[in-house]
Amino acid sequence: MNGIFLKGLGLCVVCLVMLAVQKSLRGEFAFAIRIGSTLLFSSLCISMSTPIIKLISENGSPETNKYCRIMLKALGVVFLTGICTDACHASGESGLADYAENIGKLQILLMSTPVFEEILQCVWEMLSF
Amino acid sequence: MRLGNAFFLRWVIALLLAPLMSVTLSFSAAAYDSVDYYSEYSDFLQGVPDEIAKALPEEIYSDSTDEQLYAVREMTSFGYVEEYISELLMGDIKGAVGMFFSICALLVLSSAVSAIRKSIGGEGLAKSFDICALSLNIALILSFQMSVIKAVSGFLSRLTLLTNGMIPLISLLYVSGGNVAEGSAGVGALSLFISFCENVCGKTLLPVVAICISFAVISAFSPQINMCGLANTVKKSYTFILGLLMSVMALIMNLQTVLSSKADSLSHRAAKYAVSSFIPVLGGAVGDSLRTVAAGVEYIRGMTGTLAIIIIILLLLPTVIKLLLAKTSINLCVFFAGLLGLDSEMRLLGEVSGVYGYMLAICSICSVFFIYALTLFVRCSAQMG
Repeated sequence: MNGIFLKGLGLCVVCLVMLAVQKSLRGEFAFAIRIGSTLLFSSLCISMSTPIIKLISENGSPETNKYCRIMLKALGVVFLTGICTDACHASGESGLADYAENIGKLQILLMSTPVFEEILQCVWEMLSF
Repeated sequence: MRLGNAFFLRWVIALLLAPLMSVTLSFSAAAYDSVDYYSEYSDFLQGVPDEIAKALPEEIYSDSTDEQLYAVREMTSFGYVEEYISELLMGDIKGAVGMFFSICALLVLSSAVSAIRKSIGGEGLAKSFDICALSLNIALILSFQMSVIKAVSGFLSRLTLLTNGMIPLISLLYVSGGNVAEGSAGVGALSLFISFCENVCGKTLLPVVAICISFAVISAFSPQINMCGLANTVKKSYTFILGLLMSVMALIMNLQTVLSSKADSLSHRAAKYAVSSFIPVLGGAVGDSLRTVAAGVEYIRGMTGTLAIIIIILLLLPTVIKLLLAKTSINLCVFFAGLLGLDSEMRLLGEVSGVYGYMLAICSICSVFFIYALTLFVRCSAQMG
């Protein structure tokens, strides 16, 4: 079995215990522990998916690599925006959370714009035969 | 005395016609060498696309009819066809497998990333991400379609070019065999079909394909707008119209060939009757020599017609194999998309697979019609015999 997988599950249990303990002591550190655990698990996810990304980049066509990169970047944007909005919601700032989500949405759309252009170009090229 | 005069008169006629007899007999002895078709034949070979020309045996470029026939026989052998198909498969399987793996890799990644995304962020962000992932998948699928569409477009233009190059040779061999009316009907029908293939199939197939794929893209982006029904109507109407036009043209060509064949037969029988009646001793010999020349013309016709049919098949095979392999890999991708729960991608891929089927049908129909015209050319007997 993969070592990182077991370490990840172990860390999850440790974070759970830490959160349970600090809730009974000082509640204000819960947010910091949540942020820390999110970053930890994100880096774990990235390191676990590295072999898959490497396999695709080595064997896939240039287009596949390009699109995989955009998709992973979009996932990164979703991830960061998610952390930010969760933090805003946890602090009771739902207005700020909406702004953060909108920025995330716009960033994803901006990243997709060249792809939309490519689709339109493909269709246009087909029609102009 | 009268009998002696008649005998003397026959000898005089025989002596006078002796030079004519020597000319006609030498003509018949030469048989197929008497038909000078090499310049038209060489023009036709120059029109053969380079990738097909490389696959032809060297003897095909010889000016000797026997060597050309030997090469055509070699090309019809099972070994030659098997080698050609296996070479094509080796080249095209790589591309099809590459396409399958590339699309599948992105579909799997897209599905995995969507599963991760569900645990993060709100509904609005999720929608934006789904659109981004879908557009990436669509862009990748479309990027692979361009090469296939270009291959089909190239095939149609090369087919019409090749058939255009065959017209002078076909006309010459029709006329050499005394099939003047049949030749004009056959060549006329072939020219009509070339322009049909160039202007109707070549110029409408790809826009129809593009329209169907565009409708599929629209349906994939917003499943509420179901354009599949409209795309199916366009496809069905297009194939019905093409099928109808093809049937009408095949019927006209068949009827014209039969009628002109009968007209040629009648005029040549009349000419032969006149020759054998007016030339008392040598009339029969002239008829026999014409029959020999006709056999020679039929021999060349059979050889060149078969060669042209083989070249059309060699031209068709790469496109058909490419389309079949691409269709198979797209069908496998449809299965994987269904398995991963990517409905929009599955619908788009299904539509692309259907469009491949239509392109395959059009390529085959065009080739079959040209092969039919050439078969009529090969099978029609020389009327001068």
